[in-house]
Amino acid sequence: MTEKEMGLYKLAKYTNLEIVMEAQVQSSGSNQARILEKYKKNKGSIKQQAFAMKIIYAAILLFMGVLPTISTYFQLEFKLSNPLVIPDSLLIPGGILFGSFNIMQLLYLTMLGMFAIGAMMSGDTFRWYETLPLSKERLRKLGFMTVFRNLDVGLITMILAFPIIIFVISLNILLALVALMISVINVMFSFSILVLIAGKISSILKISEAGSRKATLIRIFTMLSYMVVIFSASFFMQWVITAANDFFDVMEALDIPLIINIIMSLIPYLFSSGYLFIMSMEPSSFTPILWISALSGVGLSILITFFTYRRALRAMRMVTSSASLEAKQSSSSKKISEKPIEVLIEPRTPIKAYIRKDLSTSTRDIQTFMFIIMPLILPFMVLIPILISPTGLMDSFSDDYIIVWALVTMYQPMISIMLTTGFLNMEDTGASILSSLPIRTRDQAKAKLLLLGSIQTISYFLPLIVFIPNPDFLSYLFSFFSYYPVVLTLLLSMFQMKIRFFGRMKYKFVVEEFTPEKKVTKWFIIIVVELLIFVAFNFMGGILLLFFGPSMMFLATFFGGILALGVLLLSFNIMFPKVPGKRLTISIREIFRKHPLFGTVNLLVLYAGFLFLPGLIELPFFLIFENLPLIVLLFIDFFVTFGVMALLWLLIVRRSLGLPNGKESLKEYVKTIGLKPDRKIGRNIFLGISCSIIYFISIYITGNIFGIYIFDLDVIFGNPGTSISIYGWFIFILALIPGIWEEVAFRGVISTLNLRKYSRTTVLIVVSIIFGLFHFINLLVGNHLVLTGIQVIYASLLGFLLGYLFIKTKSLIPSIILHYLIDSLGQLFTYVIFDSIVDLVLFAIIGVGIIPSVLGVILVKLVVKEEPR
Amino acid sequence: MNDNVMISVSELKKFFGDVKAVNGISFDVKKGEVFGLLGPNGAGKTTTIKLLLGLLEPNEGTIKIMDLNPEIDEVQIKSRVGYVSEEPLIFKSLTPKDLFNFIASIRKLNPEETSERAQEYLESLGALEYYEQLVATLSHGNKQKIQIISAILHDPDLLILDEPLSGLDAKSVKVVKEILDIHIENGGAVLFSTHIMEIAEDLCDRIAIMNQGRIVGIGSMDDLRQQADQLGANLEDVFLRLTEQDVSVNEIVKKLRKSFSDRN
Repeated sequence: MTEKEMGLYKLAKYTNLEIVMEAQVQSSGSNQARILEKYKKNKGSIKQQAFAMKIIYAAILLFMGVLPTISTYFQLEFKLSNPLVIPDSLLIPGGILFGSFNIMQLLYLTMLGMFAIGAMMSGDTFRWYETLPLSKERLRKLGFMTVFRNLDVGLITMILAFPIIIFVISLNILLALVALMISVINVMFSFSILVLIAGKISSILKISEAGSRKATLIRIFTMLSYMVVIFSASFFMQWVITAANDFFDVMEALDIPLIINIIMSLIPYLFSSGYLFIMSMEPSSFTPILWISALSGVGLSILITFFTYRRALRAMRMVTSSASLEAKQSSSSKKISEKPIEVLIEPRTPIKAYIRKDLSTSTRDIQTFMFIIMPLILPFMVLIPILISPTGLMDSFSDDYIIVWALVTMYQPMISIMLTTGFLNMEDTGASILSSLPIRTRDQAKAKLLLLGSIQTISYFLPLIVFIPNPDFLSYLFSFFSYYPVVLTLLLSMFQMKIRFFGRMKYKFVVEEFTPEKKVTKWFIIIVVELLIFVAFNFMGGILLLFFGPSMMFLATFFGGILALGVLLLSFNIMFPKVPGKRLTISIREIFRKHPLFGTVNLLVLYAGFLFLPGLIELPFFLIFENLPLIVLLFIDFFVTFGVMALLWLLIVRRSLGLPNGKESLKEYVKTIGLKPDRKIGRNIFLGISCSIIYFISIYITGNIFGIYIFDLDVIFGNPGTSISIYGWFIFILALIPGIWEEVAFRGVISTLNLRKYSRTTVLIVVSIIFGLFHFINLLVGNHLVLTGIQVIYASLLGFLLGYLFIKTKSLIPSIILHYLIDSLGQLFTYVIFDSIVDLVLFAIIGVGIIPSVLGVILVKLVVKEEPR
Repeated sequence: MNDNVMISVSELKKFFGDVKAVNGISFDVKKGEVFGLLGPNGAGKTTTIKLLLGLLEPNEGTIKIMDLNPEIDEVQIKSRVGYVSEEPLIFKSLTPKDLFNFIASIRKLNPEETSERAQEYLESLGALEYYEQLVATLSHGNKQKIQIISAILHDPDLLILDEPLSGLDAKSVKVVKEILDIHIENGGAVLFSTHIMEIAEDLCDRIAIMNQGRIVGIGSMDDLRQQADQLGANLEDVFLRLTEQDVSVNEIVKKLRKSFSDRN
């Protein structure tokens, strides 16, 4: 490089940093001041940022663009060393492969480059340089140099990686030099194309003379087609590369006429470089004529590259000189002034106006526009490689639509995150106008949500188009539709979290970032929660799919999604009250406390969910340590389940839900639910034990009446796994879980909650029935329907006794003892063999249910004296 | 409260960390008057205005705008107030056409009346030719014109203007003054901030001079002249005296003259 050009290279450093900073500041929204503050404190941070971006680009270009070429080299070398293979036959597939790699490199560079230099193409960076004594020609080169500096590490990697790797592998200097030449030509060509395309796009975004609907549409379609062309082309090329590898095997035995090879090798850019490279691997194997044609082909490529470079330089003039830009503007304004401007204002509803504003803003600014485009392209990015993949992933599964469904749902959280990040930051430029308008934050939030929701909806259902011809289309449609509430849930939760964490809530434009402190932590939490919501739904769906098939899964995701959506809509109404200023003061806790039955239902749903949680936590653990002895697994399961239950009933219900009596300290709570030992502890223990004895005697006698009772201590003292019952002595530990937590749940919390509103008799009956019905949950783990039905009946009856114990003694101690002993020691008495199902039912209802309950209630009535209220 | 009082501020304080941007100011703005906030850069004028609009929350003190509290009734207040900010931070990616449509939609304005009004304003300020161009491509002055029109499109009762005339050409300044006059004649009120004394002297009925978060002088021109203890002086001297800058400014001017004469 000459000294003059070196000077330009140095100058370009400042324009480049300016671009990086501009992009940073723009994307930070109203948070700009803080970003500037950061720059003030750490002057190097722009440079670090610019450098980090370069390294990332370089890595992507290296892995995507260069490395695949190397594998082709090995394949070629392998074939060339095989004497059976005619060298000439390798030229066509090899040439095609290298041509594809060239195009791939071009596409990747354009894709990355457009993001990188989008900011620069507005030309603002160069305004100041124009005032300096620099010739127009030098300004143009400066522009080119700036783009180059923005990507330099990537470009240098692309130029050097291929020859260096080839040299290291082959230790052939000639080959490495050829490789170097080829990469230089390719990279220069691709780079010039990048500049041309970026120039085109910037002129589309900038020189829009009017905000008319037509102009907006044209903008959107042009941008869309650029993106679609680039993305689909790169996928097509991927596919070509995969296919061409098979091509080698087909071609290697064929005798290709020399003339075809000569013509191919003359085609610049596409094939000539590949030809030259392959021939340099074994120079003596190819005829001189082929050498001449290949070299001329490469010469032509150099010429083409040079002319493209000149064109790119000319395009730069557009950017670097404001004269041309203003010329365009004035010409466009002239066009307008030909007809008189008529001011016609048509007010719409605030929500519509908001959506229109956001749409026209986003289609005029490349950064935000990406946030609209990406959700529309992403489905195809994910689906196309699978649909056209030659390996035929699709064939190996019978239910194709479930694969597609799983894939499409997989990136939904990503789209929600992307949309909320992109669209909740848009108000910065109009800050003062917005702040002076009488906006209702609810309208603003609604407008944003409608826009985001439509984009995500389109993005979500778009892939279905591909499957319309599929005979199974209805299944596709149904599977997509059933997950739709979950998609909206993901978006709405993301939206609310973003505003709760960053937004200003009380006044003004809520969706602006207002509290940017601890940004990283907040984002971490947001994304983790978002992913957890997603995992919860898909895990639940997956389990249901495994055990009950797809329709169960779809029903569950649909209704689960609706439920979650309902909760989120409620919290949306609280965040954005209908009457501004007057906030909705209804709290969910209050609703639960005022309507105990509603609260009970919610508690039970929560409880059921938590019952499945231990399995979820343990699953990966058990998969890794599958050889652990059973007793260890049992203990792990016990501790996890016990911990989860403690978390639910001692923390979540107490603090988050504030049940049964509002937020309490642990001490108060323990007293409320009757866990605290009181003065009558001796009597309470006596009651628990004597009720248990009544129960044992009852089932012992009735067992002998209705069936044949077998006395076997092994039931409760055997070793886990080898005993007749699975648990053996472990039952004494395991029974602690239902013994304690079911009592806390149904007696301590739910009964206390319902006693706030209903009479003791009502509560006793209702909660007993609920307690019994709750045992239907055993169906989900695969228990027999009839047996579970019987269990529901006797559990309701026993529930009555347990509830009576609690209400009378106001302590949980007796019912916990009874429940624990029934579940543990009671096993000893339930080893009964029946002749018929009728006997079993009679035993269960009379022996297990009615007799112990009635006798127990009588005992309690005798022992506990009614305290004066 | 008196119906004639549009803005009533008492003992208003706003701190940013250790910086006391506004440190206990009180004033009233009545119907039919142009009230000026005059002060050097960093005096707290813009902070005061933002507090009035409810964009910031005060640490102490009370604000009443048309008897409403900006912290609670901000929507009602804003529907009757027009605001022009110091920097023309309007949507760069919209055209004035988009912008006016947006504002009319949010404010729920009458289409015919607003169209007519917008046309008149655009013509009189000479901005009609930019009606369909992106705001980003407009010059500073033209952006300011668009912003002023945005603020008066709904015929507000109270105008709050933060340095509204910066960047405007002479003709437009005259038009804006005319608009303010008409607004006052129709019983509106104007709160006006500037650091240019001539404009304040020319336009305002009453002036509050602010310095370092405090009001150091308040009243009509005559009052201020008396306070400055320098009868017959123009407001520039009053202003400099009140903000205790007269000595330092003279020194700076001396130094500047010296540095220029040394070079020549």
